[in-house]
Amino acid sequence: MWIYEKRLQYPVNIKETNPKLATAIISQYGGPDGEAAASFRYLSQRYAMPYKEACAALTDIGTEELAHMEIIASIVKQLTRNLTMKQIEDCGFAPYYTDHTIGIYPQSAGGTPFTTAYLQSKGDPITDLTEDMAAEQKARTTYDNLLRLCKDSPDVCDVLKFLREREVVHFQRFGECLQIVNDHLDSNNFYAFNPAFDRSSNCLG
Amino acid sequence: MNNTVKSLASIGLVLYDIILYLDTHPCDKAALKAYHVYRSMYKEAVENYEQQYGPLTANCNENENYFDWVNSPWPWEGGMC
Repeated sequence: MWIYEKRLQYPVNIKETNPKLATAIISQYGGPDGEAAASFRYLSQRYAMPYKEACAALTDIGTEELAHMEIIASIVKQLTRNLTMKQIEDCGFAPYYTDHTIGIYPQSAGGTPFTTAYLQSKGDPITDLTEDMAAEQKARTTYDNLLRLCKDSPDVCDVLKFLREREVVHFQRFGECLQIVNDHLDSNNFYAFNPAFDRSSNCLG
Repeated sequence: MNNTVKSLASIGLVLYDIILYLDTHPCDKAALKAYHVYRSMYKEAVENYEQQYGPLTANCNENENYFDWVNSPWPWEGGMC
C-alpha cells in the first residue's frame, strides 16, 4: 500500500505564467519517457523480479517516480496560473485548452495521450532492468532538451535540474540491480535460463 | 524559502537517496549508520512541519474538532516556501 505525504519531494514556486513552456513540460508527466511511464514500468516489473535487492529498488524508485509526476504537474499548474484568453491564443495553448481547459492531463508535448505502449514488463529480469536503464537515460535526455527550452525561466530550470539528477541516480541503481541479477546467473551464459520463469538452469538446454 | 519546509525537503531527499543506495547495498554499515542518523532527523523535521502546517499524512490528524488534513495547503499551489 501507499500513504500520501502532503508535500513535494522538491519545492515548486514558479512566479511567471508561461503556457508555451507548460505544453513542453507536460511530456514528462504523460509522454513517452515521462514519470508516469517510469512509475508504472517499475511498479509492474517488480512482481517478476526474483531477487530481493532489485525488488526493493523497483518498489522505491517506482514510488519516487509518483512523487516526480506530482512535481511535473505542479510546474504545469503554476505555469498556467492566471492565464488570459490572449495568452492562450498567442502562445500556442489553444489546442490543450480546448480539450482540458487548464486541467492536468497525461499527454506528450505533441499531444498524444498517455499510453502503456510506452513501457514494457517482459517478465525477464535482465531484459526489464536493461529497459529501465535505457528509460532513465531517455528521461535524462528529455530533461536536457527541456532545460534548453527554459533558459529564461530560472525557477523552472532549478526544478528540472533536480529531476534530471534523479534520473542519473536511478540509472546507477538499476545498473547495480543488473549486476546483482548477473551474480545469481551462470557466468558462462547469462541467458541460459530466465530466473523469473524457468525452474532450473537446464530448461533451455 | 521557509526553513521548516526547506529542512523537511532536504533531509527527506537525503534519507530517500540513502534508502535507494541501501536497496542495492543492504550490508553497507556506513550507509546504514547514515540511514539511522537521517531517519531521526527526518522524524524531527516532520514534527516541526506538522506543528506549523498541519498533518503531513491523513493518519496524523491531531485536532479532535476538525479534520485539518483537508485544510492545510496542497503542495502544488506553491507559495509555502
